[in-house]
Amino acid sequence: MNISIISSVTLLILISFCVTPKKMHIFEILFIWIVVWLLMHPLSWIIYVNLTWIKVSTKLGDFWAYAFERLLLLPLLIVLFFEISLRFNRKTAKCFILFVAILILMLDEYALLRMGVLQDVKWNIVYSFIGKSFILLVSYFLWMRFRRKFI
Amino acid sequence: MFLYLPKHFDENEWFIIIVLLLSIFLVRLPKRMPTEVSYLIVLLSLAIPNIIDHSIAAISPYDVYRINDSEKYELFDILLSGVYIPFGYLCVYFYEWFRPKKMKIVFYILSWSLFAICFEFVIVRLHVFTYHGWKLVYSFPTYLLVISLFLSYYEFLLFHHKKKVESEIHYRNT
Repeated sequence: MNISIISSVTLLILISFCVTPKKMHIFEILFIWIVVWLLMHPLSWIIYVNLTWIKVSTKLGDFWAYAFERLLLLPLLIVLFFEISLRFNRKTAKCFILFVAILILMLDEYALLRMGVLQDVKWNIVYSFIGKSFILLVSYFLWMRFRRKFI
Repeated sequence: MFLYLPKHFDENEWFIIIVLLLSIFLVRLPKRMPTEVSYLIVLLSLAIPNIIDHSIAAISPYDVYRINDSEKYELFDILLSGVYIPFGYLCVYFYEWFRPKKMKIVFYILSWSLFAICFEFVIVRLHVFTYHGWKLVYSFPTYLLVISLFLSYYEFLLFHHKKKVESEIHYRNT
């Protein structure tokens, strides 16, 4: 059940993203996607294995639902928000979009907790905000550097 | 604890340090591919082992091999990702150098997979990986698949780089 919900949502967003015209070059999309993977995997490993603030469900279906979310949905959402941020020139608008992106990522994590894919042990909204802000802001600044240099 | 230090500083830690030090010499190699493509190759070389280890190694329900000294995430687990950079980079570097065609591509992928298996055999002996469920024979098809996808990714990047350069030239001329 969980895997079908997550995969359907991901595929719908992915198709919408593919068919809309983009300001980003394919290299930027790949860069952001891989950087998000590289930031998220060690961070989530520390949270789940070392600190055990959150537990991942050991059910095979939920485990793959979470893998789907981690590998596709989360980087896709971040790329989508960065793409939207390119359509605005004002700094306040860009900051607002990044803030909304953090809230959406937190909401996504909350949905996973409610669905039972993740199990809350010592997790709270502040940790979630810090974690998502770290991933989003670090990937944003690295992307900006990459864009200035190569695109 | 946030990040664990090794329980015993022995052969697996020394191996990781030595490979990381040797990989510094990669920057001395003559340039064979565009800089932005090299960046994306290095990033993917870092990401693939991270994802595979994260999905099937230390985390339930699979938990088929242990990395370094403990089940926990250690400082040397992060450093271990760096060991894969020279592997991915050199695989693409020699591919670009030799430019194998048709059946030679198959031999190229096969040779790199065999090299990867030998490399993995060494790191298992040095206790970088401790199998509990995984077998070395499972790694061979995994390497065949990953190396093939990796080279396809490189061709994809080259195609888009060529397109980008052409559009820049066209833009300058008009």
